[in-house]
Amino acid sequence: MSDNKRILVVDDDIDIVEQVSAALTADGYDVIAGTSQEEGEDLLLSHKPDLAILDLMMEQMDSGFMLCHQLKRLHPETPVIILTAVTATTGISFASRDPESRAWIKADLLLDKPVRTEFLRHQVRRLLHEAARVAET
Amino acid sequence: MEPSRSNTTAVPRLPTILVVDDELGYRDGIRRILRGRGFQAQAAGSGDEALALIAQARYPIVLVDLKMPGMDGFELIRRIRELRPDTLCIVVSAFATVESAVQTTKMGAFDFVVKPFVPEDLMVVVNRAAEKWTLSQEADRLRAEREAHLLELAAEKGRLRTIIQAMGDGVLVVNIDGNIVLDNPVARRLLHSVQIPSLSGRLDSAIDDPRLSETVRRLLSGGGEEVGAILEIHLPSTEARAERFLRATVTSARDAQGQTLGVVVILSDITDAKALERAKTLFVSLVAHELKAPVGAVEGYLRMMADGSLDGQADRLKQIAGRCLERTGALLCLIQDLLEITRRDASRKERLLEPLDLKSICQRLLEFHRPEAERGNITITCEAPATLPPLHADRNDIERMITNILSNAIKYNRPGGSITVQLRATPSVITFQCSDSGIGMSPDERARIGEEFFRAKNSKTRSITGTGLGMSLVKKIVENYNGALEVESTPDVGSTFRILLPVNGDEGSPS
Repeated sequence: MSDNKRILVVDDDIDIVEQVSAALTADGYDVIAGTSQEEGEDLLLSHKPDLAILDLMMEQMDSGFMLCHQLKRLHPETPVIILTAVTATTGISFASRDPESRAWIKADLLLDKPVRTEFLRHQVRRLLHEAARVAET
Repeated sequence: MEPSRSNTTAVPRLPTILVVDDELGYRDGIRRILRGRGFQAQAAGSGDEALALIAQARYPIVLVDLKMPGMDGFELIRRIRELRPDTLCIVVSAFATVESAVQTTKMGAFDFVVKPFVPEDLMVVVNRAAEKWTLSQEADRLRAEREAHLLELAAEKGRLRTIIQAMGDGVLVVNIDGNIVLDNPVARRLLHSVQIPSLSGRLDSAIDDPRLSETVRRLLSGGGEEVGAILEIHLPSTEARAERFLRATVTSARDAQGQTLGVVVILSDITDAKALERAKTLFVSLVAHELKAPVGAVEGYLRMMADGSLDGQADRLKQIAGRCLERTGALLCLIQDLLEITRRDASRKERLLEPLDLKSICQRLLEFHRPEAERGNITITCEAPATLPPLHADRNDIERMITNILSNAIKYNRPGGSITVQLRATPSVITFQCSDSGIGMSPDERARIGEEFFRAKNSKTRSITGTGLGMSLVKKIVENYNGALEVESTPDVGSTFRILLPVNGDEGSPS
């Protein structure tokens, strides 16, 4: 087993999975990927990820939240990024900066789609770094 | 007073006088005196002669000799008063007794002149009578005029009332104290108060909207230049009724001096417009979302190429180009469908109805889709009676409808699966049915068929591209022709789409 950090990527857009995986693999992470909530559930049970990037709307409107919830229950320390285009579609507004939203969504970061790969890489580095610091203390 | 009016109902300056005396000397003498002073005068030698004249013409003043053979003066006055009660009778008599004076006055005589008299004595009395007559004429005229005016006013008010009652918008008139003094049925309907005969009391109690109340208060205090405002009022839904949006046009009512008398509130129901606006906004954001995803995916790949991530990987590059093409292809289909939907929503006029042979159209489209089906090893069969009654419809509509159904049946099928198209007809209805051996739908998914941008999402559909508008278009077309769309589906077994179209389905087509 390698020392590389393991990142779970779940998105029903196979091209997003492809691109995010390619970028993160190039950065030296181990990527495990799924393209549905169902696959995501299987993956997070079988592999403990160090970070997860989840699409919000897959089979269900809130698939990303469901996965996030399950992951946090198993591994509360694992940072979760949720990708969403939902704000534009439904007019529902929430932000991970808003403590109230964070409390029920429990995601560490919400990013609007489409997200620039560079920006996503930066956020992944930052969150893993923070998680590592928390783990030390 | 208007000159034209006074002309048309002109009162002669002096009344015509009838002189009744059996003595020719007095008769002519009095007549001469009167004529000499500008009066019109007629004479009669007896009571009967006088009554005959009075029956034919108006004599406002009658001079009556009391002592005449035959009918005497008393009798004549009584008869004149019966005939024309407003006649002024002046008694001219040599029997100047208090008794006879009292008696004639009791009978309604105007005054009394004693024979013999000088012309001036007579004229004092006659002039007084003439004056009285002129005054009463004027009074009558004024009364008639006022009555006519009142009638006019009443009619005007009634007309206004009718207009207000018949208006399509709600009307509320609020007086200076902020109380409702006039409303109409539409206002009561819009404010959910149909059960009461008229709204009254404070405006605030009829419409609970702080901004409206404030605006009305401001207009009533009438301090500034402001003469009106337009507000939007939201009446939230309750258990008993749905929510409603109103536009209130508030205008201050002022008198000629600019003094504020009250406020008129016109209420228009804009609930439907609001709902349409919301639906439009939602549609636009859904479209934006659907456009963003493929463009984002292609952009991501282009970025990978640009930053050198794919350098030297010819096979990978080729594979990614294929993905890009698939996404842009789907995007073009989406734009195509969007154009189709907006065209359909914008106008129904473009539809050209003609008798169509559904069987030949079906066969042609099946042939067109066969290569695509064969790539997935899917067999297509078609069952149809020898002849079908002609379907009166627009060719483009029907082709689009069948194409979308077939293309779904192929896309959502499984390798080695099958598609069966069946056509059936009764004299009034043609049925098109397409059954596939595909992945099927859950009951939830089936219920959402036809919803714009709805696509069944599960692990089996993720690799299938689609716009989410295909079935929405089919549904719209079927509705346009007053038809019905029935869907049966079992997950992992397949789906059956059944479309029933009336042979003369379009409401506008002659039967």
